[in-house]
Amino acid sequence: MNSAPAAIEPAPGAGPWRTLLRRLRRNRAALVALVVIAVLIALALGAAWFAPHAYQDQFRGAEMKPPGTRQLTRRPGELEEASRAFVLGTDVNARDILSRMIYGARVSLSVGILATLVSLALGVLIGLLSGYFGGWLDACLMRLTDTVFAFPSVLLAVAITAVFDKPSFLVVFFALGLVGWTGIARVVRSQVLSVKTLDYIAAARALGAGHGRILLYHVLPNCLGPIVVLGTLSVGGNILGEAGLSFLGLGVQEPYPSWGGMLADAQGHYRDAWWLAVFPGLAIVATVLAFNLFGDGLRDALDPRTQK
Amino acid sequence: MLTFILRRLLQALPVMAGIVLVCFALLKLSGDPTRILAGERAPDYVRENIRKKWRLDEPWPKQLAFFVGGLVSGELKSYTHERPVGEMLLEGASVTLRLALGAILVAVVLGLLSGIFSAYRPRSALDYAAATGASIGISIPAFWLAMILTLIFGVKLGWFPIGSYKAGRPEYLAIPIATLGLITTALIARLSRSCLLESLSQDYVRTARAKGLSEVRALLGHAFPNALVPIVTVIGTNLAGLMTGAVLTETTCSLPGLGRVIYNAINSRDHPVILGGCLFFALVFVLVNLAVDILYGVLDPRIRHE
Repeated sequence: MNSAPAAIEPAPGAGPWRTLLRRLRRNRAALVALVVIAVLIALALGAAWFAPHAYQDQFRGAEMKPPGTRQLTRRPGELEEASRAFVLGTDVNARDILSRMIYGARVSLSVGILATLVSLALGVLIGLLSGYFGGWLDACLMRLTDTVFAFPSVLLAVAITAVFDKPSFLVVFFALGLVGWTGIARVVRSQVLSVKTLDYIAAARALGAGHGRILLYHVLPNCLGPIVVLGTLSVGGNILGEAGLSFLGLGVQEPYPSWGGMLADAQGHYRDAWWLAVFPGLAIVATVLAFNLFGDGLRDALDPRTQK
Repeated sequence: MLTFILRRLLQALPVMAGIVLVCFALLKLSGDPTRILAGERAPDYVRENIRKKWRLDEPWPKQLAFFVGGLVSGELKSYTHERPVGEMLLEGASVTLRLALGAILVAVVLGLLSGIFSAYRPRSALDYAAATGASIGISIPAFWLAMILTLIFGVKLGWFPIGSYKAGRPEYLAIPIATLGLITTALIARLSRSCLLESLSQDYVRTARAKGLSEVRALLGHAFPNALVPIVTVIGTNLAGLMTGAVLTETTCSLPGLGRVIYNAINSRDHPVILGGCLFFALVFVLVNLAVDILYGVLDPRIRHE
């Protein structure tokens, strides 16, 4: 479908997707990023298997233990003490950090991806309509885009979460999705503007295709490249956004862990428990970095100018 | 030029009006503010009194007029602090402005240096190091970087004070400025590298080299000025973003900045402060964009504003 780069590279028997794959395979950073993303998704899906402990279990006498602690402890309700290892240490409430981080990946990844889908749906729709029809519709939609863009995104997301009574998972991804579509709309619009002057659109129109058909089957497929790239990159942005909202206490609620929420818990314990502040943050950086590097790799692979 | 500025300011009016409307609609959607202002269990007559006092019992258009009128005349007061909104916002803005300007200064110096070096020696070890640093820089949550810098330079090394900001003590701003500065550096370094490399491949740079200019002079004298337009755009959007979006860093570093003022206002349903803040953000955004557009004309004489 992304026929632009493929058309320039006349390798026999190579479809556009295969060209994309071949180019991606040469980009080591993007490959590593893809592996990291796959591992994170596996961890999130299989959190119950991978996590050494349950995320909400509080181990008696094991409050704020440093990484690598192994000690005899029991959960509330247990009669016998058992020797337990806490690879990345425990938090103020004597919960295992590593387990909470593995469960936290569920929140980060699902919010990051779902919010991106919301942004993509809005951004693509608005960009398509705006670029294709032009005129007053374009003017109105672009002023709307400017308005949303002018809002500071964190505060807008905070305001949207404040509209709802209780912060929750659904509210967070909805809020981030509602905030993050402006960049996508602008790029799709400019792509549509250049695509709609091409001959094959005129040909489709001459054959009697309606606006809906032209938009869906002729314009949209030619915008897919930038849309995929922007989507991948905005997953990273949304994961950062979710971490920020959780840090402010507006995300997923206790006892369910999120990386941003874990960092909020670390505040005030800099002196006695550095590990509370370090590991969840590293998880955020690694995840966002993986999505950004993969997005960069996709962009380079789809860009006909980086032909070699 | 003057007509250009006036026209742009006039064009900004609908966006500002839109922002106030969107903001007002969000406030109305967020339900009855007296529930938070008076407390969940307050008796009805207490809430009724608050509604009367702040004119919340009037029809919406009248309320909107009351807000806008109060903002323009400067008499609108905060629900919770009973102080003029403008005064509260300016107090916060004075902290945030220092933070934003300091961060932009750090970012422009470091980002441009890194970008210029990367373009001068592309694919060198230092270029890869800079690219790696920039990739990490755009993936790092600002509030976490602030935490880590506090942990290292505030707690372990004890170089900078931690705790609440005290006015007139610039050392309290060092860690937040470094945080936002480094993150913005990553953006500017990435962009200036790619813009410089692009303009290095242009004909006029080849001409400059052909007439015997050294590589450094071709880069700094010919490629650099032509790469400045997109770089200035990004500096502008980032300055606007830093003025408005620093709420997380301000939270981590206990700075009483603008983002913090508005965040508190959102939590306490302090409608006048929220509306005033949104309008202030919009104004900053419009003015920074205008300044960037005026700079375009200075940087690139081909761009004219009629």
